Amino acid sequence: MSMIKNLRIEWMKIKNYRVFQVFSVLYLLGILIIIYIFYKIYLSIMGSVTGQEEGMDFFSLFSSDNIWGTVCFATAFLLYLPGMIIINLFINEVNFKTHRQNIIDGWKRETFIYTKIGLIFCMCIVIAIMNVIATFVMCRVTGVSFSLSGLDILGLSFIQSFVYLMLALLLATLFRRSGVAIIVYFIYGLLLENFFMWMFWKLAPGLQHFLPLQVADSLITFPGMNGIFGNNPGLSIMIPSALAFAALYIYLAVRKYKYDDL
Amino acid sequence: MSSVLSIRNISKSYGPVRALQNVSFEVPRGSVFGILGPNGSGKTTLLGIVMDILKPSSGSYLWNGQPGSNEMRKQIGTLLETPNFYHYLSGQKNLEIAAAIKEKGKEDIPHVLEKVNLTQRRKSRFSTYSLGMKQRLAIASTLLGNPDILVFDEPTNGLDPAGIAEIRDMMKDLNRQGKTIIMASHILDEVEKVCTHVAIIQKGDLKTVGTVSDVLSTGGDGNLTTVEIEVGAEDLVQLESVLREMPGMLHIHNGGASLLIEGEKAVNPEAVNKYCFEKGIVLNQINLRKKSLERRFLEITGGKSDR
Repeated sequence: MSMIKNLRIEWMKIKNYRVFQVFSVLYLLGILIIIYIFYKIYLSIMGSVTGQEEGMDFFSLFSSDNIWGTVCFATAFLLYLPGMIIINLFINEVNFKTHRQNIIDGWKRETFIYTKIGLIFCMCIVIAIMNVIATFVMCRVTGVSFSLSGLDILGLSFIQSFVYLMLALLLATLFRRSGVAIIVYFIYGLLLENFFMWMFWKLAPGLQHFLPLQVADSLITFPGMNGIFGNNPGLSIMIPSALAFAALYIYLAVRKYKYDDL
Repeated sequence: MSSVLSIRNISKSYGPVRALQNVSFEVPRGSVFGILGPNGSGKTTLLGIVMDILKPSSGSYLWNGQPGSNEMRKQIGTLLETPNFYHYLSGQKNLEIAAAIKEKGKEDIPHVLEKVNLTQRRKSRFSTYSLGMKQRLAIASTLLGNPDILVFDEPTNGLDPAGIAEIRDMMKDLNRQGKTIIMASHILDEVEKVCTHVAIIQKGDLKTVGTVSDVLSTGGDGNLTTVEIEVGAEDLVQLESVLREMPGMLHIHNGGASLLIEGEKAVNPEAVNKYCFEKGIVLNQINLRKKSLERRFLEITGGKSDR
């Protein structure tokens, strides 16, 4: 109950924040747009292979078996956007010094940071719902019958989103400057991690799946294909690993916030 | 008088910089307690520690005899350093958030906005407020829930002279209602006009603490120092020569119409009057000169900024 009350306060803080509104709408629309664009490009490529204007779903990416995986895999590329929103919201608090005022007014330090984690949890639920909507829309577009057979993939997508957003929160608590945290988030996620993956793949094969974001990316592979840097060790290892990384991010963010000067 | 706040040997270091060193004092209930010090002396650091946004390197503090807690902070109205609000929200919305965190209802909001003259601008975004309006909104926020303890850090920052007078009157009024006010300031006039008690901090060291009148008449070590008395008689030349012989006399300045004498603690108006009378001089004027807090502050701190 207390968390619900705190989340209501969090909602009071952000619901009228224009940047949050714009980015959220862009992201949610982006989920639908990116999967539709992916579908059209895919058909176009298949068409060029077969010499037709628009090809067939040759790899069955949008079959009833694979459509959940395809949607969740493709939309995960947009997870940096909600990550940016989290960084922005947290660092706003630091810039406005409201992170101090909330404590002065009577929140525990832990309450403040746990409420942010609660917000991330809620955002991951929204992302999951959007993935359901995107899957439903793509089923309509492709003519595949919609079923809830891919709920397990939706669960994996939820964990993936949570790891991405928790890392964003951790970076925000560490750097406390919006620009720096966002640059680190992007440079690490889009460049450095790929370099580390290649390096581990060459030097210590297998370890490349246990990097801060890749541990979550490895949960959902592109349907019918292995990862570029080899197969992951299986969900029985990757799910606990991703959860362990998420727990580590929570621990570090809470510890940083609980014991540091604000 | 019980203590609202007990500060016990609090020290705070930032690497090699020692911001506070073994600071201890008690804030009596019902007082207006001024924490006075030059810029950078550690006033805000001390208040930050007792509000749990800074961690002390050592030492502890008690609010109403209990270790500090979030439940205790909900019962304290605090303005620390700058008004801290969400820039994109209105004054009213910001107060709603503060009230929700304090677990107070919204019913206080119109009243506190009225008290700081912000009712008309309550729906304007905080970012559009002037510095003075921001400060007044912060003061309004401290009044939510009618707390018994108020902590103000430089409360008149950014206010115009009328606003400063209003806030001073408001603080006096709140104190008359039995509320304890802890106020950090580097504005001596503000402390002298409002406070009943004062602690002077310099470079993180507590120099003196006590009632304002005690501090005005004592040194940093708590011992009485010198006394200034203005005296007059029909024959000033004779009066001056007599007073020069008085034990404890340090300095005499002839102002033409009267003498300004400075002596040790024993040289008080009663003793001077008696001494002169015994020497056959009848005084026609005797006034104890009250030292200003500014002068005492400069004596104690050496008149230097801590930055």
